Amino acid sequence: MKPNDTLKVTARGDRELVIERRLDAPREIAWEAMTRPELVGRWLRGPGGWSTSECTIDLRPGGAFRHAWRHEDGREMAMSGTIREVAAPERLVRTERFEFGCETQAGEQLGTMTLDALDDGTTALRIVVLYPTREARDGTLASGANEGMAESYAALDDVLNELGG
Amino acid sequence: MVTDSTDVLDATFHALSHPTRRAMLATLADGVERSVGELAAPFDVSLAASSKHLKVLEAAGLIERRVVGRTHSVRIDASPLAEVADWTEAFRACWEPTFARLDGVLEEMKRHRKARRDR
Repeated sequence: MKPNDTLKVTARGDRELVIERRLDAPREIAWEAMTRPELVGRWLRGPGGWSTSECTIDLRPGGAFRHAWRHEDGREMAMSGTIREVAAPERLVRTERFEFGCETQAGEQLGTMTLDALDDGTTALRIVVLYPTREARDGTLASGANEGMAESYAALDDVLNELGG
Repeated sequence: MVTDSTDVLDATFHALSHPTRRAMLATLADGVERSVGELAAPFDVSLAASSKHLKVLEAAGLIERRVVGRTHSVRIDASPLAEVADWTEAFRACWEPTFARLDGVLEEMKRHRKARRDR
């Protein structure tokens, strides 16, 4: 199994989501892929049908960023915010707000990305999103994020295996 | 009473969060109806505790209860599980390709960097 195969999403407390994944690249490369707009625009978008229509990042404290996406059926989504902290190549803090297209995530959220350089030359990516309310966090979960309750998922697997087998 | 899909998920995950309840569901997974006493017998729990577990499963819509005289019987209703499974799938479909694309960008960057070094 490749080191980057496991995407983990955990609901922490009432208002946080923690997203973790291994990246098969040194931290400096991972940092560029996560912060340079021409690179971010190539990978950060929704599932089939969505494409990036705008990706700008003014990478400095107080700088603005904006991501916008367009679906082939005409729908549009946009998220923007302000960079709060930049500590290349390991930590980026920014405020985020969906301008439109994502009603379940109303309000401003705080995103903290950290990159840990691991001994084997790979990088551990961790994104913590703090939502304005529990409802906003749970709305995100319901609209496609993983509640990451390991025990419940193991339990679910057991039960589904029983049902299916 | 569960109303929308978030509530269904909450109730389902809560119901699945206890090993005794999971074991009870696994027992019922064959679809056979059992009396409450019969279902609780293999577990080392009090009647009150097993009754509480069954209430949680019932609230999540995971079991159906039938009362005949003084006998309460239960059987599995797997439909909320299907919803959770679909939702997990939706999550995978939504996020994994995004990170797979990131992997692709990283691979390309590594190749470029190596090519520059080798030149």
